[in-house]
Amino acid sequence: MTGILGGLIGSLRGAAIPAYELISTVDVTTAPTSIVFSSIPQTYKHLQIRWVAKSSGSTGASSNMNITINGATSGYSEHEMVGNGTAVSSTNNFNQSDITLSRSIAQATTTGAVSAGILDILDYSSTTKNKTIKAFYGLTNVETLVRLVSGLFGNTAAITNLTFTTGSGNFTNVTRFSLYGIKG
Amino acid sequence: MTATYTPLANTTLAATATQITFGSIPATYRDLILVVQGSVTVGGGSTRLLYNNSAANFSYVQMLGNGSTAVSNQATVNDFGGLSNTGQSSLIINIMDYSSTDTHKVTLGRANGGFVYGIVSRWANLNAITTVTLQQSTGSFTIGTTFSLYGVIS
Amino acid sequence: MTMTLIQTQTLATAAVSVDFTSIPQDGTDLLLLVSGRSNEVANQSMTLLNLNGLGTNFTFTRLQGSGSAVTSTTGTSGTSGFLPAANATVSTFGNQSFYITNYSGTADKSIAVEAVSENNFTEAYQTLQASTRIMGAITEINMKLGAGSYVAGTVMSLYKITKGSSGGVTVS
Repeated sequence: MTGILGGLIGSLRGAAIPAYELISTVDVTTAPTSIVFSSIPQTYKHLQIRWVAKSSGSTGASSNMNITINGATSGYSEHEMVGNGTAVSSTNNFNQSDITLSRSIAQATTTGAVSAGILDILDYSSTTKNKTIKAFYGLTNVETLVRLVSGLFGNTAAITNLTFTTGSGNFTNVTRFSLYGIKG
Repeated sequence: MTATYTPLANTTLAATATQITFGSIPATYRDLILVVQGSVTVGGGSTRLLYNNSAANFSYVQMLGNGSTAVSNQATVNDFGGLSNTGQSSLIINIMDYSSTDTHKVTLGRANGGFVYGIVSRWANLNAITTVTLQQSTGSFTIGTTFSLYGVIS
Repeated sequence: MTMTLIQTQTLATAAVSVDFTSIPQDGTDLLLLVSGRSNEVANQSMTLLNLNGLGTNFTFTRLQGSGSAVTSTTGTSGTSGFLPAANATVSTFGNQSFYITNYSGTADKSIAVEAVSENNFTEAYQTLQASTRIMGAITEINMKLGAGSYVAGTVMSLYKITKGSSGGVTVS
């Protein structure tokens, strides 16, 4: 193997144990504006969040979702590639107060309609790396949007808290966020 | 205790087929993951998913790359790109909250054939999904094409 | 067990490649997760996926955003999207996933790539890619860069996903 043997902190070969575990699920019942995963265990290598969401906001067909990490309100960037049913575009935002997943929550416009997404954070417990998220999500609730988004948290602290906040209204009781740990 | 990520069913085609159905899907899980690998006998078509034998009340939006142009379009069907007729290709499909009885069903999909797709669809139906059918719009799935279904709890 | 860890590699020093060898052949699909950065003197570095030691016999179709524009390209190499490089925001690593179906079978391979880099300025890449490789069973994955080396702190985790049956689900 070229250049690897002297360069590894660890080369863990896994025993046959399940690598994908549910850490916590929030099934909304109380109309919160935020969903919080706190005291995230540091025993996994990567995290995945799977969500289905709706808000009570009534302006338009969807609202943003704002992500903050460890309670920080600065040091974020995001970039996205989005298809809107007509064209594909790519945009950027940096020096932000959160990571914004644009138009990611279906609003009350259409009864029963929800949005959904999957978000991955690799090496979340590292204390030497900024944290990069990757999210694939979308909705077809009056608006039709499919997105691949990246977000940067410019802080090397291990992630212990993830907060997802609606840009408009409250999360309704069909909203579900599930946090999974991936061993490594 | 139910494992977080569980294989539910799979099949490998011993003969060409225009349709594959996963039935009797229990409501035990939260999301379904469907993985398809193979090819089709005729190019230019798409793989359409039916839920509970219904092709009605769907809407989708996709972004795709065809090797020269980025394209986005939308329609009132549940199509997930096209498997290739000239080589191996794959579909990776997440059906979110499939067992819910108070929401529509959102599906997130990746199609990886001659073109590359990212797709989101919604089935405007409150029933839990108990059957998932994959139909090839043109030609057939070829011999050796594999279909694997997994459940994820929450 | 559906998803099991085969191996995680974490770099203590820079390396030109990261190799997964002797991949067990008893799974169905492979999932490779990469948290990586390059030391190439550039904003971003291209990733190269090699299988069984070779970066040939690939075809790919890519859809990619740059933070300001979107392109679609095609090619015949194992190139698979960008990671942040030396001129990108410090301590910032990209996030990649490679899903390879039926890796231990004799049919040619389909690889789904989903990758993002990041930066605290305009340029960063979002990539969806469909790749195909003419080959039989995959016993080795070799991750390389177009230029430079993976930096210390790069993490790559390889998992196998195994199909099966349970819960009374039928197939017809």
